Amino acid sequence: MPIRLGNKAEGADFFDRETEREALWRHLEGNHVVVSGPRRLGKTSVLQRLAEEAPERGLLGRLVDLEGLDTPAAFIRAMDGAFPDATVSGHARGAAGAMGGWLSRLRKIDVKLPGGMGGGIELQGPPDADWAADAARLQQRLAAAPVLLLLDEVSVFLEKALARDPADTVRLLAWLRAWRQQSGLVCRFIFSGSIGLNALLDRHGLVTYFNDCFDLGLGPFTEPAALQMLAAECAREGWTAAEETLRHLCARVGWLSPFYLNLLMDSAMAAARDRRQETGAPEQRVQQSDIDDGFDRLLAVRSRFIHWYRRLQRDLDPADLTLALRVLAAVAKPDDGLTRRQILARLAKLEPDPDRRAARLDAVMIVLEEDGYLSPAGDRIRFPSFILREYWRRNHAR
Amino acid sequence: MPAEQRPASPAAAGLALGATVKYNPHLWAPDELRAIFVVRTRELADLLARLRATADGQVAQHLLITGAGGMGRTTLLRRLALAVADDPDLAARWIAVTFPEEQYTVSTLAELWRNVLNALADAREREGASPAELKGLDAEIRRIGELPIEAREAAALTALTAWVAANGRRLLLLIDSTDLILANIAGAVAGAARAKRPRDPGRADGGATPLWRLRSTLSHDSGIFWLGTSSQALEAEHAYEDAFWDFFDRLELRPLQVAEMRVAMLALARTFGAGRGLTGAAGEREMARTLDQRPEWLRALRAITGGNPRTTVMLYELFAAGGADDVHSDLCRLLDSMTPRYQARMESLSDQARKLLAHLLEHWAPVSARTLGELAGVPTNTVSGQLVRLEAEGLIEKAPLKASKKAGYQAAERLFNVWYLMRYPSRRVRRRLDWLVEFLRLWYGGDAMPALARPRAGPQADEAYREIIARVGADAQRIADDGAGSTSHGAEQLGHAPLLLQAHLWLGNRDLARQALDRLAQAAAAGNAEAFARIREQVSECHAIGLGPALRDLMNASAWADLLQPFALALDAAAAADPAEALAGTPAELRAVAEEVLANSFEF
Repeated sequence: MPIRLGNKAEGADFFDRETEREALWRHLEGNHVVVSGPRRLGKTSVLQRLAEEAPERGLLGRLVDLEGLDTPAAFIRAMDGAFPDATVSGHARGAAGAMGGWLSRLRKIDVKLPGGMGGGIELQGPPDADWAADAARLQQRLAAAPVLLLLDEVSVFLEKALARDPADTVRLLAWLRAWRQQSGLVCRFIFSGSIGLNALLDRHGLVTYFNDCFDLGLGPFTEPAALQMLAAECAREGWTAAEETLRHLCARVGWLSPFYLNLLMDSAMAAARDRRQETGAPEQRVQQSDIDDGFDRLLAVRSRFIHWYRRLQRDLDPADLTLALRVLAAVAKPDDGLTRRQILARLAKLEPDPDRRAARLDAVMIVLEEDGYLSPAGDRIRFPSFILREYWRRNHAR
Repeated sequence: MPAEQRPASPAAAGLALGATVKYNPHLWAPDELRAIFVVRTRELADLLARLRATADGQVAQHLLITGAGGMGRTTLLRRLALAVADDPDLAARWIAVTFPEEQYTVSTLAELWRNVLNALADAREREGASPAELKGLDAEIRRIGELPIEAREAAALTALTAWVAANGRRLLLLIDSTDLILANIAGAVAGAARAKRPRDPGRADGGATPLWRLRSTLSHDSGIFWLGTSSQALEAEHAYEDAFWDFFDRLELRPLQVAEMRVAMLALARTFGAGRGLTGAAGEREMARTLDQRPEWLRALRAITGGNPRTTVMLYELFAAGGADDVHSDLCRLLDSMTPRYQARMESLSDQARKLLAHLLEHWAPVSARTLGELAGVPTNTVSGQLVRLEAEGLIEKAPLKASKKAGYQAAERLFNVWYLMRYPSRRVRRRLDWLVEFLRLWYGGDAMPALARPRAGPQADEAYREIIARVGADAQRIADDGAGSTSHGAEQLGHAPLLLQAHLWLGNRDLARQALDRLAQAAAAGNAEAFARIREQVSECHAIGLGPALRDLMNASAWADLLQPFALALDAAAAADPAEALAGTPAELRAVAEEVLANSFEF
């Protein structure tokens, strides 16, 4: 089976994330959740897995893909289509025992409203919109039903919808928030967004429409999980690899995103196949040299990287460009990135005024994070893509 | 012409395969394609393995084949379609759906899915589907076309899904120019505002809603495997927040190596003929004989074509003719036939890009961005941006600068560079044409040189080419006419060693260059004054075209290193910022000779 790179991981392709899934189920007992993180981290795969686990927890889970939608009406239709009446009632009939367990675990959701008001609120009437009637019916059907609404690619949908009709989109968000804060609510929402969800909300002044949700940032794999995944993929392809070889792969990747782990594994296997063909080596064993060859092969494809630099040249003003390039050059040099303080220190010459320096760094970091160049990892800022880091280090960090 | 009416091998029918057919893979008959397809076999095997490993019901890992123009993307797609049809197990699970190379009419998802339905009907017809089935498909396509516009996309997709479910076979969409199709679909979205990027309104919106809908379909529908081509990675134009960022896996088609080019040439000879009407095994034998006689031709071919399969096919005719006396006419004709394509290539560029490319082409050897900027009078940071663009378009490539760890740039397709130098030679550039003289000597060899001396008449003869041939002819004549006497004896003793030394250095054939150098040095050691003069001449010429360090290294490693030491020192000094400083510390006797070589051989 080919190593999965672009699509969500399902079945035997899905590895680990046990800690994250346990945390999500725990938080869902008392919260709705926003799952955030850069692209290609596996958020959709995690959501899909939760949908599969939902029945044993008494819930009917459905993953609703919001990409490709750009109006509130389409949003309502998609949710309606994912939870047909027959399916919801069928689930309620068939999962009575598990449902009871879920209901007993539920905690009343704490509601924080502007002005310090607390407590649950009654169902609010939907706004005056052409989708209002459909929305009301949907809410009535699902509010008291043990359903888990897994809404994927929220940020993509919001950006489109806001560009098309900001007022109508804000009405939708308000209605959704009111639904979430309804008393006696049994259903739960998980929203997943990567592409600058928080920045998008901030830019449009919409943070309050999601601040009732618990924000769970998805991070990289742990090393044991990464090793398990890589070993399984090797075996599936009919190859072996010593644990130290796989550790070497992890070390070269750095930030253990499953996408980048798979990318390097795929390239290393291609290098191993070529080596075996050239040398006539009998055994199908991935060696450390194959990892290094695979790494160099990924970097050799210049068309994959040139645009990262060109995009900054195209999109930033000269002053911001200089700052952005300085930040990237600094962060590219060490393997594990830099702290914000360390970055600021390296910008002192460029911007002597400390307050202005901090403000400029914050502004440029929004762009660099949203566009996938850099990502926070604990208290450090680093390149999420090891390949991009290495490309930048070799070409722009001198 | 329908495939069944086409002769199995055009060469067997006594017809030369027209350029139109030869350079258009989609016009090759299946048997021709199977016969010619010999070098991308590993890539084909990889793709077939992916298909076999994609389990039923599992969403496929969609893939793009990338590579510059002429690298064989379309040919690989076509060959894959044949391979799937030829394999009973694969054919039972997949149906390969192919399209014309450019689907110019597609600008919406509705049009895309309708095109897929049409192509599916074509594929089923080729498989011998019943008239009733074909009629049903055609009726469905017509029905969808009569629906309101906003309903067509969903209807077409539903029809495809239904066909997959009913037939138990999944759609392998072999879609050429995926990048252009996605750009068309994105560009056709009216009022597609990019809230975040107001500064680039001219760029196609990689985040347009239809592209996200397409991504959603490809992410969830296990009945469709999108296996397309693209000139470059989508990420070159798409942004991080766009729909297809890091979505497709990629298979990059690399330039052919010399061994692969040989395999390709033999297959072409077998299929299209070689020599005087020889076909099949005889044609292949003839081609093999030609290649074995002059192994340096393949290396030269590799250098000129950049390993580009399409250009290789074009040049194979020269080898197929077997080095006959009208080969150089064929070369000129070939370059003439390339003119519309190459001229269009130049004219499609912006003024600044064209100017930079022209200077780079005039330089021939790899040149740094800084030097290029100085030559063109363009600021370095501007040059860098333009070079990045030219590289992304496949017109130039990075190559190591001579005697440096740094990288410079050169034309990716060397034949394009040859064409340019022959068409636009300024007085300054004529000096660069020395390389072409050596290349022609190498190409045609000593036996053909008298023939080259005959002036080439004809209204289309290029002025510079006549000059080159005249020069080659003059040299040949001089060598042929020289009789007894130390000079003529010396010249005969040397043969073509001086010219072969330079040519082989340029081509990187170190062993052959060393043989030529040893021949010169041996003659010089025996007192041949001509040999000394030729060594000095080569020192000067190699330095002028950037081969100085290579020649110096060769001299230092030669069995005649002692004899050649002054020349090696002179080359070192010539490359230094301060030649006198470079020679400081050299023993006086050696230094004197080196200074004399410096004074007489180099222009400062």
